[in-house]
Amino acid sequence: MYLERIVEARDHAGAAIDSMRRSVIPPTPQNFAIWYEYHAGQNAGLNRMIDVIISNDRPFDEQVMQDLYADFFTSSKEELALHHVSVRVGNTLDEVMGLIATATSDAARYGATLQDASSAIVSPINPLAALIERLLADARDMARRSERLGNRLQQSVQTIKTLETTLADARRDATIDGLTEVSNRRAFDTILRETAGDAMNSGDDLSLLMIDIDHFKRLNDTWGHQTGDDVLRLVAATLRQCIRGQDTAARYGGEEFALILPATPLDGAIEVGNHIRLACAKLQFVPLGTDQPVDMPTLSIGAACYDPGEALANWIRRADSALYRAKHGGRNCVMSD
Amino acid sequence: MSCPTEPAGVGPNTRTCLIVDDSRTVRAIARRILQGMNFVVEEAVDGQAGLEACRLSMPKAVLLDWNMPVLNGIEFLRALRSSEGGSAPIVVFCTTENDVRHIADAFDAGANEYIFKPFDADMLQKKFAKVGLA
Repeated sequence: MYLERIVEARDHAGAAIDSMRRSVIPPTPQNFAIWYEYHAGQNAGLNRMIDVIISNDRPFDEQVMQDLYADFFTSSKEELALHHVSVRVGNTLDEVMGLIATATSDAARYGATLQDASSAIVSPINPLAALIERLLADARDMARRSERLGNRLQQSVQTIKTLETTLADARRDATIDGLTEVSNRRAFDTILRETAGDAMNSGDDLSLLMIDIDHFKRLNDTWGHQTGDDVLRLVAATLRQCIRGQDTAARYGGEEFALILPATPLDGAIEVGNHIRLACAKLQFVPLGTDQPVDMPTLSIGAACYDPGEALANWIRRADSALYRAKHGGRNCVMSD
Repeated sequence: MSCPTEPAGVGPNTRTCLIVDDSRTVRAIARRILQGMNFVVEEAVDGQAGLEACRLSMPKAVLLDWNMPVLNGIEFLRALRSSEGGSAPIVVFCTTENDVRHIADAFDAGANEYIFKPFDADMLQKKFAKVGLA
């Protein structure tokens, strides 16, 4: 009986580790707890929730795991309180800084007033003058102390701001392709789903461009991988320059990029594609240590407009097959589905 | 000899699905898919209109959006479940809201299934099959 339970627990643990590996989430104790519980199947609510997420193809990202843990493994009251506290600490510190600044300047003003009074009372043996002298010393002391406190608080605020920036950077890194600094494949999948959901609701057009660098392998072989990387970066920078704020440029894989264009019909997307093709043709690039410019490669582009109600994979397939036709139609052109 | 005529599509073996969604595009897509699954389809443009439709005739299933004017999806669902006969329909949420909190709230309010937008025919059929509406 005891042995059976050990075997069972071992199975759940193995399955939990497999699940974390499959969904590319870090194997932290919290994530392990969630997946172990799921595979043990004792918590109907948790299993129903995870099944909904799996069956809808939503990736298990950091946010989902955090929310699952908060909902099923901690008292939600504490979790919520913690969240409120962290939001309010920042605000409170700002308020305190303001109060201290006021207090410092008040003390300084008080000191100045006393100084005036003390100079007005000339007699050195006047007891009132001595009293004022003492008050004056106290006021200066108070001003110095509140200034010191203010400085220390200022440092704390700075530390908190640095931590916040670090956290925001880490979140950003998780969605950005390190080499080209456009969205990575994972972010592309998420944004494609979100924009398609919005397009389905609004009925607006939503277009996708798949963009491939022509003869990239030849360029790599001729000029080396360093130059190949530079060209990838240049093309990515050009994509970013050619799009509007609501558009997304992403590295789809290797030398293939993708653009998601909300509120854009197919002919508009083709226009954007041609614009990008021409902008890249104008690029000049001379690698460091040579004086010979690289022959900038051309681009082949496939375009397809989302048809609400079709599977997203089908939409991507249509854009990809348009790209395939652009390749086989002689490259350096835009083809639509 | 007279023979009572039934309205087209409404008979003892028909089943109705009410689509509650303020998006005309979504209603059109869902209607096409659900009719392909032999549902008689009714439409409502917000939660309030949905409740009125249910009061007139309780559907077998409801495909329910979250964000709508007048009365949103979760408010509709709570009102439906506390109304007479309102525990019977199978309610499938269908929304772009895809975080854990929304899903948990939906099930707490009495939803039977949950679909993320954008959806396609295959997804909808699989989800309906899971709650016995194949």
